[in-house]
This record gives sequence, structure tokens and C-alpha cells, in this order.
Amino acid sequence: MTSESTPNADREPAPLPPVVDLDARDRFVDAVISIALTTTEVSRRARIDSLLHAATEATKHGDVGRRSFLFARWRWAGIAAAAALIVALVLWPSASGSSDLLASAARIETQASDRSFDFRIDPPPFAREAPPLFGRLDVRDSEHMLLLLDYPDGTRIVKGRDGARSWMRDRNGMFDEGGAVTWPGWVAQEDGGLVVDSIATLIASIDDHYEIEVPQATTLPDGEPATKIAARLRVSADVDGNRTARRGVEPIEILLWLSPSSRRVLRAEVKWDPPMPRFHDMPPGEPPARRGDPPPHDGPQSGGPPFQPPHPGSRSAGGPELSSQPPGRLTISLKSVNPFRDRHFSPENFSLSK
Amino acid sequence: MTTPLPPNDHSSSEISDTEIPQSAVPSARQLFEVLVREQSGSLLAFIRAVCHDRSIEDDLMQEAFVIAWRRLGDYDRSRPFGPWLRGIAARCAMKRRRTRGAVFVDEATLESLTQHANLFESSRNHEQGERIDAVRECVERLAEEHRTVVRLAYQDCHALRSIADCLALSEENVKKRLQRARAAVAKCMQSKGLLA
Repeated sequence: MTSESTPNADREPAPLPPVVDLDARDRFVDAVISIALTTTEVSRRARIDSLLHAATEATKHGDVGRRSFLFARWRWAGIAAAAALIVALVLWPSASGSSDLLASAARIETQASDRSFDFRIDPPPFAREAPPLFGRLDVRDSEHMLLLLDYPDGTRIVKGRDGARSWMRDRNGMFDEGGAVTWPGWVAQEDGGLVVDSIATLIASIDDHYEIEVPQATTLPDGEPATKIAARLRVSADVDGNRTARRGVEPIEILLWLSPSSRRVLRAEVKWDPPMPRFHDMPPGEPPARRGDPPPHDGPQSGGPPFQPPHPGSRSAGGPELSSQPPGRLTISLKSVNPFRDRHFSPENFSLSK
Repeated sequence: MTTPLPPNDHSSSEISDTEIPQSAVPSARQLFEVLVREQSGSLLAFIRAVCHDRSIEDDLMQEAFVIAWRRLGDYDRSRPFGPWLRGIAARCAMKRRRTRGAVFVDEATLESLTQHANLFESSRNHEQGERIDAVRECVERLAEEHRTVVRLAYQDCHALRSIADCLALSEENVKKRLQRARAAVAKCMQSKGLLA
């Protein structure tokens, strides 16, 4: 069954590569490549609906006067045709807002194995003065991962899963293991599943609530060519005109840079817009954030824990800094896809110094 | 009594008229819908090859399918539906060329394109719908430098100039890479029985 697709087919017709000097064979190949790479399931369905609509209109205007004849002629094909219709309805994927470009990137990421990302966490808008945090995320699968988060004062939190256990070394160098080790919401979900173990999850979150822009050819800072895709959350409102609760929970913007050759995600930027914590959720006398503090990621919405800005210079066990609330922006860059050593994810493998 | 299925049917077995409950007998409309679903992809490829203009290809497709719907009774069911439909589309394209001055291919090229399209559709190695996937596989097999320009040109629909800037190449170089990539895809299609 064909799963035709493309990012641009649902929008204004895009120019095709010039074919003036092509012979018929090349011209046909050119068209088939174009169809193979530029028709989305959504546009294919839309085209079929449009064609059937046109046939309906023709029928309404009395253009088809031989239906009974046709009915008799085609009767013998009944079962097979009905079966074809059912198969078509059951097997053809439902229309989704994501393009084939994203779908192919998701497929690649699902198959990915060892990967190492650099990341940067920027605070939410209401804590703009807090400095960004930088780190690294090494991932093999949901049972093997390693997160290193560096703080402006030179300390570091290291968290890992080595297949047998979850472990952590906090900013004071204390080692912990087991259930006390929590992961930030943008790394692991409550059920232990990873959010960024596969960019596929991120891509899968780009649904019909997002407006996907036409991909752009661009280059990354290191000069590598990339195709940039931007998906922006549509602003939704309730009957009273208030923005709905999606704000703060889902990213308002997802930017992806894909390799034009491999379709791998080379870089991703995810932006949230969490609302300012309510004053009565804060401990008495504490401002939302101060220069030098890690970005506060807790918030009162969605049943999350109350906002607890960290004390200046505090070296907590890594709870508030790595809580489940989203930051303002998360930027992830693929650094390598080289296989890790066997003991790469073990706590013994890591020192606390940068 | 058994009746052979039509060429475009999904099933490869034979069915018995006596086994068909009346409620399962589809209307002409349902059958037409099956044909539209089956043929829309290959017809689009043919029309795109003929006119190479995405702004009018949907119009041409619609025109061809509406005519096919109107004349379905004239269609000889002992012959494949695809070539009949493409014949209608080719006449629509030529008519548009004459009446509106659109720049399409000449009649000799049109005839050649029709033959390529017929062979593509009649490939015995691929089920309906798998042929486009086979072409995608051919693209996947391209050398990276060729795959990159193909994707930027066809999938992301960038102009040659934009691709040249992005890859730090000359436009002529991009053109050459596209040409080589098309040749490699054509060779791959040929090996799969999709191209003469």
C-alpha cells in the first residue's frame, strides 16, 4: 500500500527541478522520484477526496446515466472490491499533521542505538536572569543512559542507568542508588520511559495541534548542511477566549535540523512557555529566581509539585534542579553516534570533576 | 460458476457469483472509488511527467477522472484500467495544450511517456502501491552526495541556487549531481522491472 508523502505537497505547489533538457525516460524518472518523495498521505487522501467529490458533482448534474448498467457489469467484482475498501480503510494510516519528512526522521531515530548529545537548558521567561545550564546526555536505550549536568559554580550532577540500577552522584559528590534517583521530566517520564531516548518521541508529539512550516535548507554552525523544520503550537482558546491548558504543558515550538542525507536529527530546539508560578505557591520571601541560580523548573500547574526556587549556592540532592517541569528552552545537538564501551553507564566510570 | 477478477483487483483468487450476498455488492460509485484509490498515484506521476507543472496537475487529474467516471460504461474490462485512464489524461493534456497554449511535451514524447507509465504499472514484481516504495528504496541506495541533492531538490523542493548555496557548490555542479542521481535511480528502477 502506498504511503506517499511530503512536507510541501499540502501547501502551495512548489517548483519542480527543471526538465527542459530531459528525454522522455528521464522525464518519467524525474516525475516518479518527485511523486515518491513529495506526496504526503494527507495530500493523497485529500486528492482522492477531491476526485470523488468531482465525480459526485458530475453525477448530481446527470452526467452519469448508466449506473444500472455499470452496476450489473461490475457485480461480479463485489466481494473483492468491498474487501479492498475495507483493507484500505483499516490499513491506510490516519491523517496526521506530521509530514513524511518527520515520519522518516522518526523511523531513523527509532532504529538509532548509541548516541551522545550536548544540551543546553534555558530558564523559563519568568526566570530570565537565571543562567543557562549545559550538559551531556549519552543514550543507548531506556535502560542505559547517562546525564551530566554542569552548574555555573563548577559542580556537576551525574545520573545514570546501567541496565541493572539507577544511580546518581549529586553536586556534593554523594552517591545514591535506586528509587531516590529522579530524572528531569524532559529526560524520563514518571513511568521510567525516556522522553529523549529517541527523538522519535519528540517527533511523534508533533501532531495536528502544531503548524508545520515549509522545510528550509540551511547549515549548522559547524557548516554541515541541514534541513530545518519548524513546528509551532497553534494558539487555542476556550469559549471565553482564554488560552487553554496546553500552554506550559506542551512545547510551543519545536525546531528540528535534519541531515539531508541520513534524515537523522542533528539538532533540536524545544521551547515551552510555562506560566509564572503563583505567588502563594512560593515559600515566603523567595523571589522566583536570582542571577546565578539554576533555572527553576517546578511549577504549580498540571498537578506538579509547588514551586521551590533553590537557595543561592545550595547543593541539594538534585531534586528541584531536575524536577519534572519544563524549562524555557531545551537545545539538543547530536555529537556522536559512536558505540559506548560496555561499562560506560556504570557509576564507577565517572568522576565529579568536569 | 467462477469469474476471473479484473486486472486491477486486489485479490489474486477467483470468486463465485453465487457466494456474493446482495448486501456486499458495491455500487458503481464504490468501485469507482477503488479505482481512484488505485490509480491516482500512477496517474499523477504520468501527468507530472507530461506537464511538469504542479499548479495544473490536479486540474488535469480531476478532468481525466470525471471523464472516466462518465464513460465507465465504455471501458473494456478485459483490458487494464490504467492505460485507458492515462489515454484520457493524455487527450486532456493535449487539448489544454492546444486551447490554452500550455507548454507540454510533443506527441512523440507523450507516446514514449505513456509506454514508460504502462510498463511501470504492469511490473509483475510489485503489487499496486509498492512501486512508489520501490522508487523510494532506489533513492535510499544513492550515494550520499546524490541522495542529499535529490532530497533537497525533490523532497524539500529547493531551487538549484538554494541547494548550491547550502552545499557550497556551483549550480552547474548541483545540476550534474541531480543528473547522475536520476541516472542511478533509473538503473535501479530498471533492475526492479519498473523501467525499460
